[in-house]
Amino acid sequence: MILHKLLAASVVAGIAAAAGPGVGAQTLQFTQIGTIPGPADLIQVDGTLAYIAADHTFTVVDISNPAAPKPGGTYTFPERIWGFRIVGSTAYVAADFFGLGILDVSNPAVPTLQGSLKTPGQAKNVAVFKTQALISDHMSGVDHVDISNPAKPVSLGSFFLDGYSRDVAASGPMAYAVDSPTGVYAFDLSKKGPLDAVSTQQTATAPNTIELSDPSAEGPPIAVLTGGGLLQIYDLSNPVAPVKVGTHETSGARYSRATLKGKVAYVPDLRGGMQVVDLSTPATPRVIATYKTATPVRDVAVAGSLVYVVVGPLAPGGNRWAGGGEVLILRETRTGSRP
Amino acid sequence: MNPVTLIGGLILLTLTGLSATDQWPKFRGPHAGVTADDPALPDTWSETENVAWKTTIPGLGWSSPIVWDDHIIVTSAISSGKEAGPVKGLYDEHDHIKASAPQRWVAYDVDFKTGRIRWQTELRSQFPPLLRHIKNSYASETPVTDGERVYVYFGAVGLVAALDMNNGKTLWTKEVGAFNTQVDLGPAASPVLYKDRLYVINDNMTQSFLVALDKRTGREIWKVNREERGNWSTPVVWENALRTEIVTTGTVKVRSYDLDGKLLWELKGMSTLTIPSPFVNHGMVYISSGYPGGALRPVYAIRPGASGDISLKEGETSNEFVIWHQPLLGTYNTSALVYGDYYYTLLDRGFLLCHDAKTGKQIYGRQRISMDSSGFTSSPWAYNGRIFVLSEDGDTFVIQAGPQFKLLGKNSLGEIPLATPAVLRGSLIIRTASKLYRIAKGPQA
Repeated sequence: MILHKLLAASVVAGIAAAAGPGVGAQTLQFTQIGTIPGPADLIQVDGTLAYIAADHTFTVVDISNPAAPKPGGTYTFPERIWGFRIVGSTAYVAADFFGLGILDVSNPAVPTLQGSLKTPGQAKNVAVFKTQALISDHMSGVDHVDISNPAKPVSLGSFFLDGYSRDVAASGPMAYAVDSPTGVYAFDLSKKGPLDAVSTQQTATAPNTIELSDPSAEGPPIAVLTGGGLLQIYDLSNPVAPVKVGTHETSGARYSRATLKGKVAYVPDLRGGMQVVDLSTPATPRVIATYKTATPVRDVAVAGSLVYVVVGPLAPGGNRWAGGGEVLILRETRTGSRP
Repeated sequence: MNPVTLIGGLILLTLTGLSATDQWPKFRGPHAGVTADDPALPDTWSETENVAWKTTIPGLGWSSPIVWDDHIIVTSAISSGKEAGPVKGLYDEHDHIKASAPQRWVAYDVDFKTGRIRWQTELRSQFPPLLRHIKNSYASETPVTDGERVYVYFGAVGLVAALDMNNGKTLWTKEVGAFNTQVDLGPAASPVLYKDRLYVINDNMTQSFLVALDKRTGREIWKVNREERGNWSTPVVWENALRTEIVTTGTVKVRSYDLDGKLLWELKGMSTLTIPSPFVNHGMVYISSGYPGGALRPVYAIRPGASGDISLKEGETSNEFVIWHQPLLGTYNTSALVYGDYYYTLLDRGFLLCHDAKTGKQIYGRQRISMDSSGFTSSPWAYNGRIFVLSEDGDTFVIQAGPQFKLLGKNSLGEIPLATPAVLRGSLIIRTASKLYRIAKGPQA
C-alpha cells in the first residue's frame, strides 16, 4: 500500500511545477525520498528532528537520515492537539480543553510534560516570546501566560476576540491573532501590563491560521493567513498596523496552514495537493508549483531542500481529518536558472 | 408575610410597573425574564442553602420549567442506554451526535410545594430519528400552558400534544413531522399559545413551516411554509396598539405574520444561526441573533405597524420601523433582557453589556462576569434591582442592575443547566441536567 502511494505521488510530482516571475525561469520538482509512518496531522521540523501531532499524541522523529526516519518518543495528551510551537528544546502544545501543555523535548526519546495550564475553552495554538505565551482559545480569545517557570505557567489574563479565536503567532515581541470571521489583532508583548491589542482590524476573510515570515527573509516582513478559500498576505512593515496587500484563492480548506520559506509559501491544500506560492511580490501571489498527492494534504513543513508533507484521508462529506495520515518526505530541486 | 415586607413589596411593585408574577406559563414567563420585585425572592442559594426542595428528573431535557398554580411542568427524553453528556462552552468539532438507544419522551408535573412528581405522561417511545448537537437534548422545547392544558412539542419526533393539567391525561396529539436543522443540531424552538391557538414553528432542511393548531383539538387551522434551514428561536405574539402579530426570527429573514398566517413584514440581515427569542418591551419588539463565527450579529428594535420589507439599506442604522440597530451586539444562545430602561446582553462567553433600551446607545461595554466560567446558555432574568445570569457550571452570578456594572455575588448548584429558570411567588425554579430545584428563602419556604 505504501509502495503504491509512493509511486502514485512520484508520478504526479513529475508533472508539477510552472515557473513564475519570482523565481525566474526556475522550475520546482519534488522527489519523494522517504516516509514517516502515521498517524499524522501536523508537523514541524527543527534541525534533525520532526515533531508530529496526531489527534492526542505528540511524537518526536529523528530525521537525520530522511530516507530512514527513526520514530522517537511520544507523549499523549488527554485531548486533541490543535497546534504547537517548538522553541529550542521545548514544545508548547495547544491541546483543546486540556489547554497549554509544555513539553521538554531535550531527550527526543522521552518527551516529558513540564507543566500545563487549563484555558477556558479549546486551546488552538500557541505563540511564544521569551517568558510569555499567548494561547488562542475558543472561549476567551487570547490568553496571556507567564511561562518563566515551565513547571508552573501562570495566567496573566486574556484579551477577548469578538469571533472565534483561531490562531496566534509571534515574531519577536510582536504577536498576531486571528479570529473567525474577520479579525486580525496585533499585540506588543514588550509592553507591560494587561494584554491589549495595539491594533485591530476586521478585514480578513474567515482566517483560520496565521504564519509570519522569518525576520531574516528578504523584503518587508509578511503575515500569511489561510482560510475562507483564500491565502491572505499582510505587510508587516509597520508591525502595529498590518496592511493586506494580496490574496490568492485556495481550496478554502479549514485547517490548512501555510508554511513559509523566505517569501515562498507551501500551502497544504487538502484535495488540491500542496501548492507552492511565490509571495516575493505580495500583491501578486503566483503559484510556482503544485504537488498532487493520492490523499489530501493536511500540513507541510520545510527545512532546507526537504519538504515534509502530511497526507491523510478526510471524513466523509467534509474537510475534517479522519485519523491515519502519514508524512511524505520530498526533496525539492530547482531546474533552470534565474534570468 | 409581615407588614414591613408587604409594604416594601408594594413599593417595589410600583417602581417596576409590573404586577406580581403568579404564573409562569411559557419560556421566560410573561415578561421575558423580568419578575415583579418581591422581597421574598432570594439573592443567595447553593445546593443546600435556601433550597425548598430538589427533585431528580430522569433523562435529559433542556426545556425550561413552566408553572401554573401548584403545577411545575418539565419534559425529558429518557434513553434506555447511555448517552454522551453535554460538553460545556462553545467549541469546534463536538457537533452532532446520534442517540445510542431508544428514548422515551415524558412530561412531568412536579408539585410546587413539595417537589413530589404528581404525574408523568409518556408520549412517545422510539429511537430518535434525528442527530443532535451534543449540547442539545431531544426535549429542548419548553411547554406552554393556559392553566387548563399543558401543550408539549417534541420536534425530535415531530409530536405536538395537549395534556390535562390536573392528571396528565393526553387530550390530543398531532404529528407535524420530524425534520432536522442545518448541520444536524436538532430542534429547540418552543410552541406559543395565544387565545385559542397553539403556534408551532419548525425551520428545517426539508420544509420549514409555521403552523396554527386549534388548542382544543390539535386540528390544523393554517400552515405557512418558510424559506429557512434552521431556527431555534421561539416566536413571540406581539399585542401592540395597532394589531396582534406573530414575530418569528430566522437566519434568512425575520418575518411577522398576522393571526391568520398572512405575512405582514419581513427583515433581512440576521446571523448565520438564529437562536435568541424575540420579546416585547417599551412598545417595541427586540430581535437578535449572533453566531460568533459570523460577520453579522445584529440586534434590532422594531416599532409596530410595519409592512413589507423593512430591512436596513446599506449604511442605514435605523429607518421608519427599525428604531435602533446594533450590528454586532447579538448573542448566540442567550436571549437578551430588558429591565427598566436598559437592554442587557449576556454574551455566551461570559460578558454582560448594557445599552439604552429605547435608543440602543451603549451604557457600558463588555464586562467580564467571571474569568473561569464555561459559558452561558440560559437566558438572564431580573428582579429586585438585580440581574441574574446562570452559567453552564451551575453558577448564578448576581449583578447590580443599572448603568454601572457591579458583581454582587455567586450562587452555585454544581451541575450544568441550560434551561432558563422560572421566577414567581418568592421562588426560583431552576433546572439543571438532572435536578429541578425550588429555591426560596428559609427552610420552610
